[in-house]
Amino acid sequence: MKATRAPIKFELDELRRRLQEAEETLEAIRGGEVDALVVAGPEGERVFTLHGAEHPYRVLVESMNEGAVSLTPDGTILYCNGAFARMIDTPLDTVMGHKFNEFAAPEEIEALTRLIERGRSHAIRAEMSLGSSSGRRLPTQISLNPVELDGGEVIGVVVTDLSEQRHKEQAQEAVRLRDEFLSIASHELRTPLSTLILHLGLLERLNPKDDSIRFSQSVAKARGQADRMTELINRLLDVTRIASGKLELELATHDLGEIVLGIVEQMAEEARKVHCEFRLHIEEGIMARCDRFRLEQAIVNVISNALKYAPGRPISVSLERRGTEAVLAIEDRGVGIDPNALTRIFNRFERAASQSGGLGLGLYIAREIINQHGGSIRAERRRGAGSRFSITLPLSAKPTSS
Amino acid sequence: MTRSPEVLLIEDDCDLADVIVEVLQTEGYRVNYAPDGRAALTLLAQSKPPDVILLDLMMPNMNGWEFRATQLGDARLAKIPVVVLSATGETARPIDAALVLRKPVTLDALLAAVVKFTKASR
Repeated sequence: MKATRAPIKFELDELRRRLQEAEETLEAIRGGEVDALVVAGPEGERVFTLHGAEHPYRVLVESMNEGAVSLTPDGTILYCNGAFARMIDTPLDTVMGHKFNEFAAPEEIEALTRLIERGRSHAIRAEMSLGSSSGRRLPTQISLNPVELDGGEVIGVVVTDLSEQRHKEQAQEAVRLRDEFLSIASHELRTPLSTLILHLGLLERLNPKDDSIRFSQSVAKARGQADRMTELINRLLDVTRIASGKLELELATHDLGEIVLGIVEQMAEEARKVHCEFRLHIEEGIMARCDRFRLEQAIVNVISNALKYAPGRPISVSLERRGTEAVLAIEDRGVGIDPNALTRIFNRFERAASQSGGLGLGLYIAREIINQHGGSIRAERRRGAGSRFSITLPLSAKPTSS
Repeated sequence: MTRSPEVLLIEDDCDLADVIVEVLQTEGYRVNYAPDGRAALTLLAQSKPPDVILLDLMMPNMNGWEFRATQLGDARLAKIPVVVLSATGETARPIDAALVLRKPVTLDALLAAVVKFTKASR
């Protein structure tokens, strides 16, 4: 009996020792005292390290398209993946140790600082732009999650690149604008085309000998519609030229007052039709370098707009010198512009009232021409009622008049 | 002799309105004209209903759709046949009308429509 009991006791002691060893090892792993475990197995000894356990996660994080960043509570970068370094266009090894908000676009630094502050206590996300060393701005979504680690605090950050989504949205918007434009362009061309076709129909029925006056009137009106269509097509071409940067100015020094008076005279008939009267206040001898034809086109567009939205009411046109600039103001007493639309009306295909006719290009063309002259145009609500458009142009360096 | 039929034209483009009035008057119609839906309603309130209305769609103040909805809600005006002169694309909102003529409209198509609805209303 004794002979069998001794080996069993030995085996039991051995098992107790191993159990004790295993418990101590576990304790050491929990306490962070062990970096690696050597485990004997059928294929020899294998080394398990903490690094080895992290490895699959690290591969995962490095293969993500999202930027992954961990921060200290004060916003210092402890770790980031390659995707984040690429987003901010900065070498990976120089990112760590920097403050996270240093990589925000300049105007968003404060907002990102506040976001990190809030990310210390709870999960939060926001859309923000990151900057890069090359000055490029990247639209992103930034999600922050506070993480408890060994009693210490870390903020885990995931950064999603939104630029592709933004490009897609912009492309969709461009398609929408193009479709709208085609529909407006077709509407605008169909109206004079109808008038032209009806005049041709009338001419077929009229006998030029018996009805010579009506006949020639109809011919003149038909020609007028053909001119109107030509003008519409020219506007479309202007927009194409502007959009591709091919609008070239032929600059010379001109008397702005003379140009404005010429336009007012040329538009008198149009104004009379809608019962508008021009009130002029033109300072003499204001000279500027400009492309006379293009500048006239811009001013005509602004005045046409006033005639369209303020029929039956006077329109004030004033030109004055203000420092090194000439200021041309066109004021109507019409319905006025919605405050939200004051800048929008200068965009392509925008019209102040969606039901009103027109291509929605007049003010866009005006703004582009004036910008190319180094000037500016803006719309305001006029005190009382109506709108005020101010065009500012740089004065000619050396006035030719004394 | 019967009175010649009357047409109300609602169209904001004055050049187009001018030639339509001229064409219809040449054919012996009496023509009343309004530059938008609101002006047309004012005219209709003051006078005997016309035999047919020619209606443009895209107009300031009150567009063609709004005019048509108001007209259909008014028992005195609801029965006047409406011929729409439409220049809008395929995507435009549908409109409930006796006939829709797509611009550019020819003189023959315009007259045929007016003849059809002024006869029907007698």
